Amino acid sequence: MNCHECQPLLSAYVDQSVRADDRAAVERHLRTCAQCRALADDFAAIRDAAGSLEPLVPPAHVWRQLSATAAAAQPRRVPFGWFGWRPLSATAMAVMIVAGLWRVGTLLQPTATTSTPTQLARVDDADTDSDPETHYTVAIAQLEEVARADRDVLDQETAGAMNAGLTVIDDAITESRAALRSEPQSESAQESLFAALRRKVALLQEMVALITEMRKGDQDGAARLLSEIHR
Amino acid sequence: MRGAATRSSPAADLELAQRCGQGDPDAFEQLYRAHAGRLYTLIVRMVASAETAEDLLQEVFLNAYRKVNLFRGDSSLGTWLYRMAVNHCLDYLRGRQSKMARTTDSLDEEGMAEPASSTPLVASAINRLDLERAIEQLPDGCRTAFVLHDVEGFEHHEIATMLGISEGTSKSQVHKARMKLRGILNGGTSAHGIRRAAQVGRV
Repeated sequence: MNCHECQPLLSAYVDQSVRADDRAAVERHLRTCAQCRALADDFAAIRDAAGSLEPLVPPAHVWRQLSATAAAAQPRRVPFGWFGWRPLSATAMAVMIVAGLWRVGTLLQPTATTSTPTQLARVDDADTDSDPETHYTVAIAQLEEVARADRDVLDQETAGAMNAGLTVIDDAITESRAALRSEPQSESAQESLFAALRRKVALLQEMVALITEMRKGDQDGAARLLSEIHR
Repeated sequence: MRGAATRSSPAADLELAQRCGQGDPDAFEQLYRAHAGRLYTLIVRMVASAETAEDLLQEVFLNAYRKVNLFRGDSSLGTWLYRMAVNHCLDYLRGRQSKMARTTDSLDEEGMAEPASSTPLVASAINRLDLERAIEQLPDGCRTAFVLHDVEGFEHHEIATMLGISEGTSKSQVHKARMKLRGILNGGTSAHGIRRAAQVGRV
């Protein structure tokens, strides 16, 4: 056995999953070849290091967004296999709208730099009728309406800060739309527009989550949210 | 099989699933707290992006919440969620890969042709952070097999079933991944200039 024949077997060799006859041949070769021995040692070292990598912890906002989304959804009933919706309060309705936005957002986010929105929209069976921008625009309008109705729950300073944030984002949306009008084929302008819309969705998500916490009377939850929003 | 490890009993799993199925938010939070860390760890390494992993993790739990009434206790809740997460990652990667097929193919070819004569690593000096970053640079196909085998501890026959590939393909993808990782950790093929941990004496 030479190096060329030995090396493809080395991963299986260090995992002790190589066939018995191959194993004997590999071991004979390794006794005489320092280069292949080093490769086998490195494979074992990489495997051992990979097996002892630390677990990771999801950021706190993942649960916050997820719980807000799940609050509006019900588990499917068996055997009917379709969603049953609870009677919805205005806030829960807002959360549900956000859930729809969040779905569109996650479809767009990972691949937005390499694909057109129309292609991506086709992926989601529930969102095939119109392009993602329309989904964003319509749902943002509905969401803003709910947020406006419930804004008395927020203190003046918080509401002011959020409105200032929304103004900045709206400016970015306006600029992106202007850029798209002058260069309709520009992928970067399109991506800027979607990035700005996503930022608006994220801020409105925070706003709705905050309103929900305030309505529940969860001061600690609201304080946590506020500190994250300010950060 | 580290990846499918679970500490809960079948009865506790069923009870938790039933409570989730009744729309109990506390039960859903309990489900999340018990399993989110392990699934997030898997997803981050499968898709090589913490930001994407956050979205995918939410989608997995939302899907699980909607389908929890279909859970019959045939496996543990942990295994049920884990499979869901693996499948969700694969769906995501397939979508991404179809758009990046040419790039990935060229990377694969580069990996296969990589010479084995690069400097040996010092076994005890593989820095974990460097390894995490090196794993992120692997092509999707071999990274998936590597993460499931070397990081998560699945056997090749289990990976073959999960990914819908042959056992031989799983083995060759893991081999390819280790070969590329060795090169990256040596500084040979790193796009981001990852230095060899041994050279700076870190453990």
